[in-house]
Amino acid sequence: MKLRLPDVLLLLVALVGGVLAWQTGRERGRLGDKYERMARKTGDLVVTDRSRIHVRALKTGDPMHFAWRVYLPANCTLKAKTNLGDSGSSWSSEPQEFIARVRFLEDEHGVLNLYTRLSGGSSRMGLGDPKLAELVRGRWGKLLVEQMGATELFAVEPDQPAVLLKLTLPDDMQAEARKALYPNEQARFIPAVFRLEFEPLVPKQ
Amino acid sequence: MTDTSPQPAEVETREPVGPRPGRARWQVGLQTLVLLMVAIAVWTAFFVNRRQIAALESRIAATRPLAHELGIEDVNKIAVVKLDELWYDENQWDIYLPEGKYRLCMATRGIDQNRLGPVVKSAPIAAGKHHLALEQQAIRSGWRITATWDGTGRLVAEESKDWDPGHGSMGGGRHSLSTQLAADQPAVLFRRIFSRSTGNNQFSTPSGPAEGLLLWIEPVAGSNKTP
Repeated sequence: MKLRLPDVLLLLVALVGGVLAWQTGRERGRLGDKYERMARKTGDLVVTDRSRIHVRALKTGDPMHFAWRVYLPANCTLKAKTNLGDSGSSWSSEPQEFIARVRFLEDEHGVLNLYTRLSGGSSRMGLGDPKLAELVRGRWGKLLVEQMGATELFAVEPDQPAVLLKLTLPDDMQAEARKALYPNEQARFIPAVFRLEFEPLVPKQ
Repeated sequence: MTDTSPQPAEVETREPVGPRPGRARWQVGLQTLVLLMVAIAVWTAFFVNRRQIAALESRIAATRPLAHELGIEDVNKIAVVKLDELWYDENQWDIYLPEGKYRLCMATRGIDQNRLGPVVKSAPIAAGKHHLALEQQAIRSGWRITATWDGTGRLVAEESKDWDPGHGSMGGGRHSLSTQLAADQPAVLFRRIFSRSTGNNQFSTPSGPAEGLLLWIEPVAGSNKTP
């Protein structure tokens, strides 16, 4: 087969392109594997609109442990509050990605402890009387769970309120709680034993 | 009639046998066409790969601080990363120690913001990869501080109740991002100084040596090669 000059040039261009495509293909594969390995730990969050808060729930395998991968836009103030009081606020001039966690554990005194970690830091606090821990012990699977981003990626404007997690007692446990808990604790833990929400940055008119 | 009658011999000689001169430069052979398609395909693949690599690098950069993966670029250096906290003040690390002999050291008093403190407990720790955890527990007599690694190693110190009066503290676990450190220098994993009362319900962290908790790994003298 006789090659003409244009064919020789095209062959050279194709060979150089082929080598480069092979090298970049290998690099893309290596980075893809690396990202997949990391995403198995942290969840895969694809930010579609960099001006909105993005939330994707992560699986923890523990009914007392909730986690999310969160993206916060630049200059966003994240204020969080729970049915137990304010959970702090944070601000950053740069966009942030972090893993938020809410976890419940019973301590050695039989008191239910709450651990929360948002972008600004973490905290631990005891939740009321040991009677609350007794009420939910072994029955976490019965609580009605509303977890933001559990089924799909959730994106919200930073000035909109949004509930990150709500754990509601089912009717039969509410009836038990009314008998077991002190009146002031009934007001805090019935019907929702726990509720964590983002507060709007700018109050709606 | 003779003018219009066919003359086969003449017609045959006038029929074109090759490309007309005006078309020749635009005519492309099958071989050239195939080569052109291959060239376009491989260069398209190259540019698509480059775009996807840039997107992946950006996503990896955003994910790396959250993944807490131990990165070992230089096998002659110590590598350490503090793992993601799953509970309040949980301190766990993945560690790589290059060839050599090391010991894990703990100090509970005389701790300042920069230097190492007097060792109260220490234990040898082998070269290689380790998973290490540090825990401070309240016990009847005061406090128990426990460092464990790989389910087999254990370092325990006990302190009195006034060691940590519960007025707050400064510092904690280090290396949330994977870090490499020189193997011939101590690698500090945890440094915390407890706050003290300054009267009138005021508390502050002492600037000089004070009660606290310091955990580090250091080479055993004379055992390690300096890379």
